[in-house]
Amino acid sequence: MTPSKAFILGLSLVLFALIALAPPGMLLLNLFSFSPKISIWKWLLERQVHLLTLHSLNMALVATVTALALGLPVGLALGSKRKPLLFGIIFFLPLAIPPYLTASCWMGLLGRGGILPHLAHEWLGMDARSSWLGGAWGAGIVLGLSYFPVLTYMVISGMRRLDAHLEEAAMFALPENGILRKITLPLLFPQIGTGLLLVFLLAITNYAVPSLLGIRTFTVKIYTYFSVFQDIGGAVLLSLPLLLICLVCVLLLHHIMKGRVFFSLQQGEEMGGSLLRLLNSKLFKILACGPALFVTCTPILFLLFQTGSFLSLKIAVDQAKESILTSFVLALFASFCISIVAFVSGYALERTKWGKGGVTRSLFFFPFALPSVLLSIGVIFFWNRPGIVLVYQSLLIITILWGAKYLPLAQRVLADHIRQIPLEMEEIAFLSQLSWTKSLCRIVWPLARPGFLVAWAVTYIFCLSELGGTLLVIPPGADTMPVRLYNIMHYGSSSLLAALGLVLIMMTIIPMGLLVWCGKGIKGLRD
Amino acid sequence: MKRNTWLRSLTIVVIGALALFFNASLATGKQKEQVVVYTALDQVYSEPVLKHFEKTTGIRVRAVYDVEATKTIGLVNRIIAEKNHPQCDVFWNNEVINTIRLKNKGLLEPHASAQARYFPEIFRDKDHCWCGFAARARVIVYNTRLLRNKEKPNSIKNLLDKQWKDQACMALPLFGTTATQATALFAVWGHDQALAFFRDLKKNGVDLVDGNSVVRDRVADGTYLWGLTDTDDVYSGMKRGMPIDMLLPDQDGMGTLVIPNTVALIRHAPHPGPARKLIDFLLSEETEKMLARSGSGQIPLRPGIKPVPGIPSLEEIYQMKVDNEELARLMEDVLSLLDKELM
Repeated sequence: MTPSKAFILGLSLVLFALIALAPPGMLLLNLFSFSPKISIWKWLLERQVHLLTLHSLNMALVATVTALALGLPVGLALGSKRKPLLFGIIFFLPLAIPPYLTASCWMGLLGRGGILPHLAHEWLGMDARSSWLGGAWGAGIVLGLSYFPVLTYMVISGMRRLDAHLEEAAMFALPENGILRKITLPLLFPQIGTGLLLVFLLAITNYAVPSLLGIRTFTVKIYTYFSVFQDIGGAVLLSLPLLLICLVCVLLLHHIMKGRVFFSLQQGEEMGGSLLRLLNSKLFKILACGPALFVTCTPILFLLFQTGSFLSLKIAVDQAKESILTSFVLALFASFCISIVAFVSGYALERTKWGKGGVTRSLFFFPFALPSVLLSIGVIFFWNRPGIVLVYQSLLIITILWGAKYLPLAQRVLADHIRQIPLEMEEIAFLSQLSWTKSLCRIVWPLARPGFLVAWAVTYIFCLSELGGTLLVIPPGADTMPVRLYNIMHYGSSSLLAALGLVLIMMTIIPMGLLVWCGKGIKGLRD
Repeated sequence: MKRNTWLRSLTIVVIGALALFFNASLATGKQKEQVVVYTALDQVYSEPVLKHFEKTTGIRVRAVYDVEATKTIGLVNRIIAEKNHPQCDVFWNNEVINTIRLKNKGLLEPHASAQARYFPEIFRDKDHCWCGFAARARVIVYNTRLLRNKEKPNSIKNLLDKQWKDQACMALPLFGTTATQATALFAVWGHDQALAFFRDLKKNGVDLVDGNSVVRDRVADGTYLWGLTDTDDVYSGMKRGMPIDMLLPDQDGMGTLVIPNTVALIRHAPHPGPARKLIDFLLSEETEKMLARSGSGQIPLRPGIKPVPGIPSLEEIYQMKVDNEELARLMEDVLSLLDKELM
């Protein structure tokens, strides 16, 4: 390994470790030096733990099932053939709406005092004060509606890599729906499993939705406990059962995807004719996309209805322009920096021997599975120190927090993409006396560019809507859109909330639209 | 080539935006006069006051606002966590007990503001570490449509009446003024009676919601008939046309809890000069009038300033008699107990 290669790769890994691994690592290493106010054994035996586990698992499982019901059919429909770009984008809109905003919309429709219970009371004489969206189930459904595009993307990604010859061979022995059941779905299982586990992880570590719906889950408990007692050790102890669940998920993820790529941007061979006919039939399209289209458009229409007029939107923008600017520039900056570090550290993970180990890969992905609330406690503990206090005082602390959460995901996207670039190309460059840095810039980078843009887009979307962790680390004088929205949910008017919600959605859609429009010439990105 | 140009342009735009953004941040950081304030009063009410101060004095205010769900406690704990290298200059609390807790931890610096002498003695610290102003009262909010011509609750203890089973709500008593009220009940009733009260709340189906404004909203939309909240939440709802009104609880018993805003200077504050100016401004007659006339309808503590119509004056309220210093001592144990019982 040349010195420049060792330096650059080493630097990226040090950055990765400082941002993503050190905060939670230091928390765990110092667990007992914090002198927690609670005893782990007493805590584990308390009935409360069982209730929190039950609520958290219940919510995450319902979210996963909801995502499966909505995301799999859409994935099959979209992945079977190239669809118009607009059609594809519509189904990714739920990711552009932060889950707490989705929850707020559905509560306005189905919750206590919501439009539908009110109408049911008027027309059918039902109890107007009943909630159609209560408990862990309600929170789970809302999270499922928010995260189903993750599964959809995984299914599309898997279908693009399907070996069409297997399906063609199966046509001789199986009916059309048999091919789907016995060939296509089993071949897609790793991607479906991964998508489901990702949805499960995102749901179980979500703070804002259960908090808003009044569900006592682990994340709500940790946040409340830390806010009330500022007991770092206690907060970490409280989160141990959740950490265990997340660890199992990460190990399962590794087991399912062993040797396979999470994210593929390559276009494989088109699948067999009869299966294609089945997936492209009008009935399948309606059945697959109808419900997803409904749950995608409903919150947006609700927000439009609540906003009322263009004037309300203008007033909202005027009132929140500083938050809009802060959120936009910060998310843009954070996602850009995260993607750069993810690209180089992903390369290090993929092209060095030690990076191929299962333990290393699981360890590097684990911070993504941690709840933001816990990560932010780690970030405060690790970065709020004399000497580097400027970091803690500035917006950089939010960038670091988002990095801790989303760098592992971006790194996985890019590492997977780099794996698909033939190593031989770099070997030829080496034989042609091209330095490693030049080979990285001229060979690997152009080929990994679609992966980079996808990593940037995913990180940008998640950073823009992050709330649970930002609430704890936001520096004086700063205000992000999610924090403002969360406050308005409590004491602002519904039209202001809806207008700012629309602004936040536009802040996601416009850059993504620009990205697609500007980058449509880049091979692989369009897919 | 075309693609490279595009990507290069994107990089330049991102780095340019970044440079501008951080340059702006640094420029504001270098301003000579600025003050950092942590405020637990709702952003919609505190922000205009702070903006007015900025406009009047030219001192830049950098504020951290608390979120409804963790009102007060989040900021108090942040100040405690930052004690070795404080970031905050002024703590504008929406209640008093947590301010005293900070004083007891040695985190407040005395500041004998000339404005403080206008406030009643019970709302001032004898060591000049904090001063109260613009208060709120803990009141009963009820739905005027659903309880029209019907018997209304008049005591906190009504929360346990079978008549109101599953019909009332309050905020989770771990944060903000609800935590203060819970601690006050432990002080007035004693440990056993208060603990039994909170256990019985659950049995009687009293819903513990995410904040005082949520109590108001749930009562206004008819989910619950009544609840416990603060005067400012009820008043802001009434102004928005919600079908709600307020009642002072326990006027013929233990009295209604009146909770002032408090302001304090943080020990080793990074900007002590501007911080003192901000404290003097917050304690001025102008601020009390602003807060009284704002959507929150705060109760002025200075004699001679009248509250807005619909809000009782300090003289009209029979106040609950509590020793704030004692409440500050009790609070941590009470919250620990309630966290176990209610979460």
